[in-house]
Amino acid sequence: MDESEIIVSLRGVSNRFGSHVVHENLDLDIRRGEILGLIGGSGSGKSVLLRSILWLRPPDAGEVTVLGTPLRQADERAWREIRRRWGVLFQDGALFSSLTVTENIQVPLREFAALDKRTMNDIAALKIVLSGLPREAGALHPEELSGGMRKRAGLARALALDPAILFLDEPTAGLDPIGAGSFDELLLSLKEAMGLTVCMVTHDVDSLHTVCDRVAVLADKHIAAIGTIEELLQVDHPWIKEYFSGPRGRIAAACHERSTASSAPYRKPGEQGE
Amino acid sequence: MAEQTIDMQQHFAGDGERDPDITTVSGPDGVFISCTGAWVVLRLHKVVAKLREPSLLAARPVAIDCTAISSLDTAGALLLERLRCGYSGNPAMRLKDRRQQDLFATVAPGACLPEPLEPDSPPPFVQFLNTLGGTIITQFHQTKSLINFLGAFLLSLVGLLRHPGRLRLTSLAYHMELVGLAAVPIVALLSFLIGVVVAYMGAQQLRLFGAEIYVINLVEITTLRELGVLMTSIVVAGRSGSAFTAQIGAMQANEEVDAMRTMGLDPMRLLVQPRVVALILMLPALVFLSDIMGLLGGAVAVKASIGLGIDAFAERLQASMNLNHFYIGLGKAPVFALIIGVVGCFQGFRVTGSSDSVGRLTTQAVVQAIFLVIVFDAAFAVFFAALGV
Repeated sequence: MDESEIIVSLRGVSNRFGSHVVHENLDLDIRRGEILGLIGGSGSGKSVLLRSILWLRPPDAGEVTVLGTPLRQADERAWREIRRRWGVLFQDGALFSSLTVTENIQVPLREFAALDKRTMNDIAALKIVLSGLPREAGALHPEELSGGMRKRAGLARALALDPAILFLDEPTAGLDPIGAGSFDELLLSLKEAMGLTVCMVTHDVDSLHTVCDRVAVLADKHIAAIGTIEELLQVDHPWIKEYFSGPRGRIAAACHERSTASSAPYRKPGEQGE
Repeated sequence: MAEQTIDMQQHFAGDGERDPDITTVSGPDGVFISCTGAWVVLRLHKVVAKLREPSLLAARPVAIDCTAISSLDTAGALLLERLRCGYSGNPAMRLKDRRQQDLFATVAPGACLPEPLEPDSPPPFVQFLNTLGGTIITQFHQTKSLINFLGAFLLSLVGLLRHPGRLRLTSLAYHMELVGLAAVPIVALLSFLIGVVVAYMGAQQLRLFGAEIYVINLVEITTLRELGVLMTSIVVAGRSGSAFTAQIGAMQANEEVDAMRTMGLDPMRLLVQPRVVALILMLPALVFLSDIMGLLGGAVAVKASIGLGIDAFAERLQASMNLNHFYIGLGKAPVFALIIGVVGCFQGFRVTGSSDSVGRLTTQAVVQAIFLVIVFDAAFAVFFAALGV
């Protein structure tokens, strides 16, 4: 594997709350251009791991390297670079509630780019359309949006500076299957168009099958296995076996096979409803 | 693969690259527009002015050449696509590679839509009338729903009188401690200081007429009749009225209030009654405390300024005291408590989904409660003056 392809790497990361150890000596690599899914049981520390990578909760031990910069040694300038090259979508969008959607998208633009009002409006309108919102949504405040629209608006804000890497925290949680499906499609098309690398924490087995190139399984305080779903199915680990061959996992796999055969995964609701 | 990696690195860095630039070039088959440098969002400000130059817009290009662009992102592609749409004759885009094609394909659908028209803003005077009218209508509706809420609360109190057992005693005691006992230090200290100020200032002015001794009556009337209850109400509106709004608002934002309703629990009985009843019971007690502390502060100041001892102060007070002042002051307390409590709870229920509104409505609750308390105080003053007490 080519070293230069690794865009985020974790080495020996440990996290503990008091005497409760969440992660111990955890290693993980995210390759450029892939969509990596991060799965694990409730309480296995997926969100804590994500917060460690984002340095919101620096790990108690170990090193996180993002875009070639070790975060522990990063100075002010390096942080500015990193923060404008990553985009983060929090679970409920985390939109600034006092600003409209357009203004939310313009927050990073204002901070990092020295553009005039008109160009910023154009860029915001583009990101709104790209993230699948209707154009009129730009003038709305977050409280006027539905949960799914808030996620899309959060995605539009995360994409404001054309980030190199995008972190998503349960992007399809709380969406109906059709909404979740179209969010998956959106992610794939954005990845193609913008050359994104994506790391997503998810519970959604359908998403794993549809969008993820590789899946990392967080269990027993470290990454228990990482690879494509086919590779994971070969791994002999009780939780992974349970996850993919439990009733929900089997249904998702079956649906995925059928939809790849018909090559139009979410466009024909009649087909799915049978 | 190697080529793609290099391309991506340029896309990230853009540092070692030239700024974006745009020029018109006359070629053999007509004018074309040549773009160079890094067309990425952080650098676009260098080229935005050039894109609007009349000479560029007046050109009639056959093509826009993007092959010399070193790195491109969606924002850069958007500006170029918009430029292209602006020309008549549909000039072609010359693109370098697959990645540029993908980017243009991504931005193209929305790029050329006309900008949504901003509605013409009316003249300032009309805007002023609009704002004024809007405010009046909002205030009217809010007052109406506040009165509705007050009515619903009073009805629930009537229900409580019929079935006193329904009152949540634990909750009531908890809120009594919170709004009453916990407020004792601050109310005591503030009232003492106000008493000192009134006596000191009064003594200074009355000395001009040689009537220093009447400072005792001054302290008595102002403290017992007005300042004690007013100061206490303002303090309590600030600490308890706002707390009511914040507590109920947080529950409302978290859908806890809706959860209660679906379980058949009445928020009016569980949330509002204990809070407002606790306030109605505790505010008179706080006012009583405030009266005592105010008189004490007055006595201390009188001793310091005109040298009259505390026992002489008490004697004179007893001889001249009109108890009506005390009763009027104390009698206003439950009314003010009702105002503060009802306004606080009412604003709490107005919270909608966003956490932003909790802060806004908390502020509004305090302002509204203090405003109403002072308005009612003025009304009482006129009323009692007319009665001659």
